[in-house]
Amino acid sequence: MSIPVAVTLGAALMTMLLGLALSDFWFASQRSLSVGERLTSWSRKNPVFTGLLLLVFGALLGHFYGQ
Amino acid sequence: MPGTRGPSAKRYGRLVVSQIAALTLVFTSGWYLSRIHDVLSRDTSPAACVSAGQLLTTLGHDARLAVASVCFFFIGGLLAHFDVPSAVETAPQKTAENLLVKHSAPASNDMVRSTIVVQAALVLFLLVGVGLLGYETWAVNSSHGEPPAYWPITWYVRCAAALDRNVSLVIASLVSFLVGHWLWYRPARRQ
Repeated sequence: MSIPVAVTLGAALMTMLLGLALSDFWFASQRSLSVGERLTSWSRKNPVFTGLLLLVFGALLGHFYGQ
Repeated sequence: MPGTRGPSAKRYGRLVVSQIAALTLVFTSGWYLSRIHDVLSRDTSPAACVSAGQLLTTLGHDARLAVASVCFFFIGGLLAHFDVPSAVETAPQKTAENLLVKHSAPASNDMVRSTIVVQAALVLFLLVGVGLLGYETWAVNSSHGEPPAYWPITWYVRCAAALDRNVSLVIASLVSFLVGHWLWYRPARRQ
């Protein structure tokens, strides 16, 4: 991954996150579940998958910042 | 979503807090990206971060990152369940899925559409994650013994941490907060 591609990819991911964050207000205005609330609902119904995701998340943090 | 209870003040409060966290994360990450681009556009070697004042390979352990990440994970999780609203607010969604999967009964088009959108977005998110982890594995493996043609994602993160450790602390805390807010499983309160 070249530098411009990496930065562009990072910017794209941040734009997606920005869109998700802003969409929450739209969902709230529609009296509908927000993305975060849908995700929370999914995590309640799938605790094993959620645990695995959290395991990956913790491993990534350790990998990134631990030496 | 049909049948969903109207938004409460507490719900709006949670939404606002999570939005502030997400937006702060976006803007700090954007600032990071611009700084990394500035540094690496002049020198694409791994030593580029050295010129920023700190060695890429001597980040070492930083207890603050671990402590802050764990603390904000719990804060996010506690805030998500402050009002335990989802037990009520997600009841219609649960009912739709139960109707379709468990009872093979018809559900409304809105319910089906909503479920499909959520599942498709989740699959897409996981596919992107798998792709990024695959690239990371390949790039780390190819970086042993010789200067790599492509940087692993880890190097970008560590370069950013070398540029400014305090901003890394903020970003790690915000990500942990959002992960705890969205994914920390706790049984819903029964009515």
